[in-house]
Amino acid sequence: MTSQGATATAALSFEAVEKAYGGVRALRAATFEVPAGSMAMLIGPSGSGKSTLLHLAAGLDRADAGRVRVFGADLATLDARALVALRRREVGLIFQFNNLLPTLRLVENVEYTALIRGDAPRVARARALAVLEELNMSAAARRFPGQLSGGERQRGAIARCLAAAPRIVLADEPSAHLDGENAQQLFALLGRISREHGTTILAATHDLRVLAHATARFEIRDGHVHRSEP
Amino acid sequence: MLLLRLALRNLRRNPRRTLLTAATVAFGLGVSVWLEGVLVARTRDMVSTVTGTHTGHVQVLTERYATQHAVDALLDEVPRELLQRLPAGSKVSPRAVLPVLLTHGERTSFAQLFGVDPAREREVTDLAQKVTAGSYDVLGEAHGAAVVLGAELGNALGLEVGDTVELLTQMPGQGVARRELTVGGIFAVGGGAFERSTAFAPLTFVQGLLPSPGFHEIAIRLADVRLADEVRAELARALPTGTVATTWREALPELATLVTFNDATALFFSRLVLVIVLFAAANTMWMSVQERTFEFGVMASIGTAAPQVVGLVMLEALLLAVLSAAVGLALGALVIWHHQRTGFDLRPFLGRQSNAGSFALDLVVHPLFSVGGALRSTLSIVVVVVLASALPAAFASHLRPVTALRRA
Ligand SMILES: Nc1ncnc2c1ncn2[C@@H]1O[C@H](COP(=O)(O)OP(=O)(O)O)[C@@H](O)[C@H]1O
Ligand SMILES: [Mg+2]
Repeated sequence: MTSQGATATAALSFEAVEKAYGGVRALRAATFEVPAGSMAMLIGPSGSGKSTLLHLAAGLDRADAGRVRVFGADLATLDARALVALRRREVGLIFQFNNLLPTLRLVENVEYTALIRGDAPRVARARALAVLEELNMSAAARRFPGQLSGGERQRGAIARCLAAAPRIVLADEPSAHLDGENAQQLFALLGRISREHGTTILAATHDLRVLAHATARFEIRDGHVHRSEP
Repeated sequence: MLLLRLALRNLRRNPRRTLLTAATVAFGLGVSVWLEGVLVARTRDMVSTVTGTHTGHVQVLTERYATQHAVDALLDEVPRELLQRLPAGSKVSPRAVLPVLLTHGERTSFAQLFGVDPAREREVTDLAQKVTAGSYDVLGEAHGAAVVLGAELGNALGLEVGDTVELLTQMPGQGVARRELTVGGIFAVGGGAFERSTAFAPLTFVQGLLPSPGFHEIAIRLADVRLADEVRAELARALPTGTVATTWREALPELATLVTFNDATALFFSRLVLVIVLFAAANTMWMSVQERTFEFGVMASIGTAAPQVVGLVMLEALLLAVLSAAVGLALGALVIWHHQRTGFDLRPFLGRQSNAGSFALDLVVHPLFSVGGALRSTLSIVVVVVLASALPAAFASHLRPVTALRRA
């Protein structure tokens, strides 16, 4: 899946990526690489373009110019069907809130990604239970999202990602609605997943207290992305 | 399975809205099924009452009699082809018909005088049961010159059983014939032109007035009136030229119109119900989809393909439709069952009197539950509800994930 212009070990690479909304240039010649297996953090104030960057990386939106590659695959060359496949197998997404479908129990939410990936129902259920066990959430498996705490809901979103065994997880301010302790626990968990499963993580945040968990840091300012030292 | 659970729970999310829509679907279907049951039964009652009173289901006559009503346009005998082609269970009664003037004292009335063989006529019509005074059997040949009159005709002439009535008639190219008849019976069918202008006499008596002894028409009762068109077509092929077959539709054009009107009414109301249900369901599905914009964004972002989103929304509509249609069907069937036992009285809606052309009708209907018709209505309503969800489903599946996700 490697192609020219990107390092073989890059999980995600942006090359002179432009994205504007009307007059607002959210990304300007954004160029960076997220090394495979890293626990990377994307830092920037509100409105700096973090969500824009993550949406482009997940193929949810198209860049105006430049190249976005996920494990070497140029997203501009993928059609809608291939992008769906990418989101099912390669990329996992976590948002600030309301990640879980409110009418599905936690275990069903987790099962969902395994099912649409093509697992048999029995296999998907077993996998969902195993993932919840791994995240210490077995006791909450049968609860609906409305019956979970904010921290549990975000960990549930991580569990849902893991059930599909993605190669990269993109998290958009996953701790924005959590208190300090829950935020620390959440990032500790993401770090552990990155180490134990080799999953690449790119988490946007403006919470500087969690930076210690990062193995790579990116800062976004005026639409430009800079790598900063951990 | 997960999809099914998801769809069911999504329906339960806004129970009031779902229940209201379900009630619309159920009520609409219930009313359609019941109304169709009433109208089908009313049609059946009308047709069987009217054809059973006089015309039968199919008539065979000479082409000239059919078009000109010429009294000398006679069939010499019952065509052999007819007896061969009729389905089992068919009954046949040959008749001779004369326009006559009846006079009693100062009063005179015009009437159609039918010469019948009462034994055969009993198998084709149930007029014998409508005789309210005297007897129908006086039409047997042993009694000679006896007549059975409609009650209104009898009243108009001031006749009672046992009285004598004078008959005048004229054959083309012959002089006026004059006979005396004894009133042997009076029949009543609830009024109408038929009762006002119809009289029956023995077949041989009427044939004695004709230039030659033959028949003007052969009335046929089939095992089932619904066979009429088929039998007519079969007879049209088999009968000798100059002889034609007609059905009750041609013999009773007013009744045929009424039946068509009945069918059209049923169709109109069931279509109307479908349109109302379409709007109700479309509204519900739109609101339900619009409220879940962010959710559809999440679903797309975790790899749900557009057809799966369409499938989910339409499955929700299908479940809503099937569950509420089941209730509606049960409701309609229940009310029909109730009215089958008690009868549904149309008089408050139609006034005291209702005639199918010249025949009086029973106004208490015992509706029919037609399995085929009910299933067809159920299927249409389910299809309409699912179709109503097609646009909302397409909207949900075409939402751009980024737009949906920013609408948090
Ligand atoms: N759909 C949109 N239409 C117009 N402007 C947008 C849209 N999405 C984002 N923007 C603008 O782009 C800039 C970057 O937004 P965003 O990527 O959401 O930043 P962040 O996630 O860092 O807060 C902001 O100025 C924002 O207002
Ligand atoms: Mg953002």
